[in-house]
Amino acid sequence: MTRYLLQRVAALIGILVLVSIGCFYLVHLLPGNPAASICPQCYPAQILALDKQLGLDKPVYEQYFIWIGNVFHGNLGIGTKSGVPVSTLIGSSYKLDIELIVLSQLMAFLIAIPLSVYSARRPGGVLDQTSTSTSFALFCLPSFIVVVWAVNLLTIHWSFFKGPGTNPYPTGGSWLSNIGTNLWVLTLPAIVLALGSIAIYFRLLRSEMVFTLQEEYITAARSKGLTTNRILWRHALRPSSITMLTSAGNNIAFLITGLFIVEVKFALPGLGYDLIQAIAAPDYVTIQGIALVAAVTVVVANFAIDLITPFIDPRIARA
Amino acid sequence: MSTSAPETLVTGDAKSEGQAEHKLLEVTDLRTTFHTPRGPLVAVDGVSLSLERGETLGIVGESGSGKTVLSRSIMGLIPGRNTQLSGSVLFDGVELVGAPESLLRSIWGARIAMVFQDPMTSLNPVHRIGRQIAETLRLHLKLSKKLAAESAVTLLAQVGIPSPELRARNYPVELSGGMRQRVMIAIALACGPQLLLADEPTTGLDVTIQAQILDLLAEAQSMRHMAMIFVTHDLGIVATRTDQIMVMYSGRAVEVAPTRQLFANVRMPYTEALLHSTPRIGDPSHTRLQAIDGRPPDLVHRPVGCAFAARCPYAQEKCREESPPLIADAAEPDHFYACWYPRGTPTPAQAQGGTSVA
Amino acid sequence: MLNVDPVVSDGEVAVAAAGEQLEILEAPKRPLGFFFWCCVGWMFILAIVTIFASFLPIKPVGTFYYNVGRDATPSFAHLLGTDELTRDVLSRLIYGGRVSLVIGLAGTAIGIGFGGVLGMMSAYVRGKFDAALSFAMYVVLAFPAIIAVICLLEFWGRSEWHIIVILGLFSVPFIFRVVRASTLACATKEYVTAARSQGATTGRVLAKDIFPNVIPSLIAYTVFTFGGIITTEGALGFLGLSVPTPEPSWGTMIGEASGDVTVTLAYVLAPAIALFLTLVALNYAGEQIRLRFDTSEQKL
Repeated sequence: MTRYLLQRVAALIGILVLVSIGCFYLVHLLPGNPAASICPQCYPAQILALDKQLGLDKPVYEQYFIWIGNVFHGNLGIGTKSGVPVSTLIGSSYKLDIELIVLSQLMAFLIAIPLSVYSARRPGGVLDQTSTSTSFALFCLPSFIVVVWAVNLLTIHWSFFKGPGTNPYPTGGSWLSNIGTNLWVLTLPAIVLALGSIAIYFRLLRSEMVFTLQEEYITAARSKGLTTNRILWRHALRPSSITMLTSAGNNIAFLITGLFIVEVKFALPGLGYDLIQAIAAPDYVTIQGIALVAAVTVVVANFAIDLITPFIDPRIARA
Repeated sequence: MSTSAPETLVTGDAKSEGQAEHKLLEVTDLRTTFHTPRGPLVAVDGVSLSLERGETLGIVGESGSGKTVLSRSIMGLIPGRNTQLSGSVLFDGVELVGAPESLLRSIWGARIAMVFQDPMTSLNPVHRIGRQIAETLRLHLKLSKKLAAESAVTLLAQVGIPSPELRARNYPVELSGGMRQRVMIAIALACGPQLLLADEPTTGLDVTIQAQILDLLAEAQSMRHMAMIFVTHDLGIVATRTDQIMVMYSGRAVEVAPTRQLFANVRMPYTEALLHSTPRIGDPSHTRLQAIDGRPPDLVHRPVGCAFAARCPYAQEKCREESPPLIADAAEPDHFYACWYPRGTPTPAQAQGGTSVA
Repeated sequence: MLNVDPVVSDGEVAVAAAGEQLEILEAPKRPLGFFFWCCVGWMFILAIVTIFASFLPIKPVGTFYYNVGRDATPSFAHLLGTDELTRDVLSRLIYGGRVSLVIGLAGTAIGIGFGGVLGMMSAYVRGKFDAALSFAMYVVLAFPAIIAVICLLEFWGRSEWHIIVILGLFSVPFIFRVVRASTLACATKEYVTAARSQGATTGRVLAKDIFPNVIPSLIAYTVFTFGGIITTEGALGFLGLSVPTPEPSWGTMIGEASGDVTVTLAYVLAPAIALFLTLVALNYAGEQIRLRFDTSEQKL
């Protein structure tokens, strides 16, 4: 078990290092001179001076270390155009995105898990066939299509939810006090995001459950006189959930695409909005910051899932 | 000899109907059919048997003989949709065939228990050992969590597992094969069942461990006056530990007898061949192992006539045309066999070839 | 009753669930199914229509029909009506399809070209090379690609070719993983050792012994990647970051439709349905292929 943990931590550190280098170089690959973009009308000599001031004349790897050093102090730099510290800028956007991700994944699990369990119980049955076809259809409906249809139908035609923009996401005030409004505003976007995830989780969990239910230990559990529900939920679910959990980790990277789409459509002030603005400026420091924050979140989430899996299935890390 | 009557089996001490004391287990004409894409597959074809409290029955047969399906059919554990169970299984007077799931569940684990063949796959890999034992205790005996956990540890000690308190917190993957099988037995014995179905419990274990497990089962039996049905392919194992033996072939019982009589007066050529194929310590070195040629017949497309005819060294024309019924031996009324030309008895047309029973 | 039906792959006897070891027949090849061929048919039709778009009797793309007006409802002349800039929707739909298909195909080609070769090499050579490459691929997978894609596109310039290259490169890790896994499964088999002991060069072994066994899963995942790239392009289009207007793409059209309240139903539905059908066709076909050929990976 310790060996497993150590391996994971080592991998985590390695990946974080590589990812941070990637973020840093991503921005440095981009054409254009940051100094020139700050001050388009400066003379070349002034630009050189600006370069020196911003530390851009140093060799690239040195710049990287300076940047990383700052990051560890919580300093993601200062936006080149806005002058606002990046961490402040993306702080609330990041919170919003995390809320959306957590909310949508919770919804997805709440629906996908029972659906898989009861579909696997009778493979080929009515529930199973309906669920499988529906989740396949959902899988083929990317979030941007769902978003367009959902918004058009629900807000314009049926006025069930308010349209985008009419219910702004509260940015002021403490998080707890705003939690009611938060959740209401985020409900529809979270549902949209959840739909794609449901398709993936259902498919994985259902096929694993069908497989698990044929295992000998399930028959053995039956022979003990346990009820069907107990066998499904307490005996069959746990060994089957590993693939789904690890896919949840991978899924986060894809969710980000959906996040951006949903943000645009529902006018939510999240990282996608910040990114688009930063690219338009162009504000290299902010782009770096956003990329880093997003990448680190994905990596840490995967790491957390890796930490949880041995507790769900002791065969991992112990065999 | 016609074959019209279904095989009904009455043991030596025949009890008349209506008597208060009924047998622990009475199986009549049990038939299990699987509906496969190739056609209906009859895995158990009209088997009958009976068992008293405390008795041991050994069911012997090759892979594919239907012995595992039989034990599961008796218990009622065969999965639902594509299978069909007909006949009667009377357990302590209660009919199990066609019984509602709730009834079966109240019996499973509490009064009938099963020990499965491969303990690695029959123990839930994500649950701790102690919990898997305690689960039955809490379900059937309604013990509290604490009491169940303590009882689980006691049970582990009873089946001979050292440091049971520590072991109870282990997962199956952390135990050796022999220990896992002991755990399986502990689970089965936990609620004190009246009948234990042991499905090849020692296959795949070391020979020394095998003996230990068998002793453990015997001890549990005598302590609890528990009946046991022991399913195996190894005649040697059941030779000394059973009261009755049933030899199965191709889904049917082909020879049934009290153990001593079976070995003393083998009737069915198949049983004789099984006996011969068991290597014996006393044989001179380099004695050839006698395997039985050929393979068991397809259970979907059954051949007409005796199922063993294709592999029987004594097969005659009649064997290939008509299927022999299970009948009682003239001399020994509780010894049954299904053969036109049984070994060891004079018959109208003497079969040729083969050696007589040693 | 807990209906634990044993998975009967066609022909396999159901008794396996009861623990008996009866003769397991050779499972007949799983048929691909009627719907599979429908999917292939759809892709075929799509390809034909988009390739020969200029020969079809549809309105030329990019022409403005002021006389018909904006957001016109479908009529005989304009089967799907016009968009808010008075362009014919049907022809934009078809030319948009061309864009999606081209990006999808070319991007996938890049993906399987690099991913396939690297995957096979990595699994075959193993050792440090494999460890390093797998780790690198894992890092790329962990990185939220969309951010990199958006940044790169914005700065490099949005053109069809750039999109193809970037999306193609980002699909390399997926193919890499799959190919590496199936190559690993093959490379340890006996016949490869046998071939090597007879002096076959690495290239030859790869080509003749391993590649034919890798192909089945590769084909399935190629189809999935195709679907994935089309989806990503659609997402980019929705955000307005795909091929620059006025060139149509399904994603862009969906994005345009979402903004406007006055758009016709046809405009809202048409590109979305077209994209949906294409994804269904690709994913279904890919899944059937995978189930049919991929005997090793039973589950996902």
